[in-house]
Amino acid sequence: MLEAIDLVKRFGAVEALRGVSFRVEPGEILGYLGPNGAGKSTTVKLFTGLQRPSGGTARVGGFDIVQQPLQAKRLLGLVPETGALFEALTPLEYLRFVGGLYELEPKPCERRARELLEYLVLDPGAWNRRMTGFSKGMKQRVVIAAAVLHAPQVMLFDEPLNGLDVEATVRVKALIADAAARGATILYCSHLLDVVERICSRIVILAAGRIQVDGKLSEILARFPGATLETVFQRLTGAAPELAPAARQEGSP
Amino acid sequence: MSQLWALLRVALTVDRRGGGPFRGRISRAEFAFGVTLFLYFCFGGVLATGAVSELPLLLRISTYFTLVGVFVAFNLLAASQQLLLAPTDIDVLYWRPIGGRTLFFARVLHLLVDACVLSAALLAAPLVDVVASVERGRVAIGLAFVGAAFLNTVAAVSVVVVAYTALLRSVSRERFHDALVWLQVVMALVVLVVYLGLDPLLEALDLRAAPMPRWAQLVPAAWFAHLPAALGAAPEARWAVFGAGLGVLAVGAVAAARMLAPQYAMDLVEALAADAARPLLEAGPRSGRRFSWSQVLVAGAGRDPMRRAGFDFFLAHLRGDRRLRLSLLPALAMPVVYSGFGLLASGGWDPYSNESLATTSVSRRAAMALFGAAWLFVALAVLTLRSLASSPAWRAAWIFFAAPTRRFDAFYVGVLGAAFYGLLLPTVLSVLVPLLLAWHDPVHAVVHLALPCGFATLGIALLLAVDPAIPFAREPLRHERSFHWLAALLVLVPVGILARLQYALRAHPLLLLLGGVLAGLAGALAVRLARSRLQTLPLLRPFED
Repeated sequence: MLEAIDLVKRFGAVEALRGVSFRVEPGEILGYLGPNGAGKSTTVKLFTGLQRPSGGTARVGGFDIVQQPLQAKRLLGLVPETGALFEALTPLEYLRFVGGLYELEPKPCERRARELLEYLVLDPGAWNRRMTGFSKGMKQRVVIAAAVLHAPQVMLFDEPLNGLDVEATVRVKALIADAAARGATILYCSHLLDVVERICSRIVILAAGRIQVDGKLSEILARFPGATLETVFQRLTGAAPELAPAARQEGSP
Repeated sequence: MSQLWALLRVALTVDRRGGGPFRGRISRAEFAFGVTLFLYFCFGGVLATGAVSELPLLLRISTYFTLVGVFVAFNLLAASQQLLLAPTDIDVLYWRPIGGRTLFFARVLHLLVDACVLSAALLAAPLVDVVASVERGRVAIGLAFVGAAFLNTVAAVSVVVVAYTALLRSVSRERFHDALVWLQVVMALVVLVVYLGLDPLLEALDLRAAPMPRWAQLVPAAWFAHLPAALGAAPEARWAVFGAGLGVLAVGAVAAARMLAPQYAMDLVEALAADAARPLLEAGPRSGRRFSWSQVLVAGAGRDPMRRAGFDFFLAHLRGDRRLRLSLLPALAMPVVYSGFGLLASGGWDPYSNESLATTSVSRRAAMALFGAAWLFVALAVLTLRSLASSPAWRAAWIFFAAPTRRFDAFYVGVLGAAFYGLLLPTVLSVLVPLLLAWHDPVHAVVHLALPCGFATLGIALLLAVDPAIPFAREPLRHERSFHWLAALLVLVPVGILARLQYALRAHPLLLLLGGVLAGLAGALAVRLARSRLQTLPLLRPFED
């Protein structure tokens, strides 16, 4: 279970989150949407203990991330937007290291690491190569494997499909759906509305640090007759439809 | 415990493999580390054959340990950006269930391993010096020296860790990085003062036969020096002082572990988060008419668009890259501080005046400070050029390889021009103006700086021709900054000879001026050579076809 209770985050005079509250139940995939700077990544950072809230509470599996960080973090898996990892290591070295941080038994950890890399279609020839020269998609596969290696009960995905090819994208979506089916709680941040529409059971749209709407896709669309998720998003976030720059140059005065 | 070892093992592996391959199976980080160790070993050799080796045993070991402690602390502070503040750590590690204490100890152990290797390289020659100077129990004294050196290194690491974590907890999160930068600048100046001031200090105090001053016992390095000195039967050595030192170290370590460790991870994360949010907070509306020195500087870049792009590029880095400023600020302060010291110590003495040529009315130390400061420009030039090679944003250098430029040399000349106008020229003026005010003779002041500036130009051009590096296109490596500093300090050895030569030739100002002009012209020729090399940099070839 993941719970935000009146979350506030300030950076000096700038208020990135202004009293955000929601709850994600086990087995649920919450699509967390918003334009750039809306506060999505800040929310993720508050849930993972990477930042301390200026107000309110963030709970992971019932544990307050500030008061009981270790208990909360043991339940967490994160795919950060940055896709950061120690590139000087090989994928297997990195996953063994992550397993060591969760004190997993070496043999089962090795077996699961290999299974995940295989599932995420990372060429076995690359498993023992340093990641310095890897493409973005190859690194992203390792980041995802490292996030789910310890079978976390709560997973936070911040643009997890960045750089992935079609096959890997399909498999990651299946992995997320499978984890939810097994009772994991999932927060999924993305700008790809069609993906969110397909895999999320509930959607929250955030703008300027506030929740604009929270509900199932069908409920949201019912409130805006004739609208699509895209137009609802544009309306709620104040992003007026406009011509793309290229179109302006070619067709407009 | 397994978390601790996992963190330490990975930190050391990442250190070793950084920067990609250099040659064969050796990585760039390993090569840079090897060169640093060699330079440290040479530096230890210079120490062990200098004035320190003439001191009595206890004072000698104390001095070696103090110098090594200062150098190690500087090295650790200089590397703190990679060791303690690596932004990658946040997304990779800090959301994992790792306790603040575990993370803290993993980082401290990492520092300690690093510091021990550097200390070993620095103290190899002093160890030989100490062991060779005693007649009995050489093995025991050698072992005691190694043990005491380890404790001394632990003390140096502890000081750095306490300073760093105390700063983390006491300074506002938004200002933490700036405070750290200034701490490093101060530390760099301490290194400089220690390096330049040691011999004159020992000469002035004439400690060869005197007992160790009482105040020297307050220096932590001296506490541990009592161990090998007592075994070497030094009359002043006291077991009690060594024991007390050990006690202070243990108490300090326990206090640090209790007070600093638990909140370490969260404090660090908040400091990094606050730093990341700073551009957002500081981006307020700006007046369009606001005066900016960089606008004046850019106007001096000329109309060539490539050169201007290079000029803008460097100035933008100087404004926005704290690491670059950090690597250059202490270096810029060097000649200004040292020249000021020379002017004060000599009481405004003009070495080129007829009176001073007839009679020497100033100490050798003051004279050498005055001449040495001018020649520091050569070391400064080397350091500046080396600092341009790497950047944390090195990945953005793809633009150099992707842009279809045929005149990269013009871009580079723009970068160098900005470095010259933005950094080197103001520093030269900061030295020149006090000289003018003190000597009341512009010709003498210009003559004083002409030859060093000419050689600095030549140095930059030759370095550029030998090792042309695309600006800010290399991944910064561990030890890189201390390596540059050490290289700059070692450059001072031959430069010292040139300073003495200039002092000897001060009766011939025209000759010195001509020498400066010729060195400058040779530098201009070398720049032409460097420009042709820059046009054929291997990575640019695909775009030349």
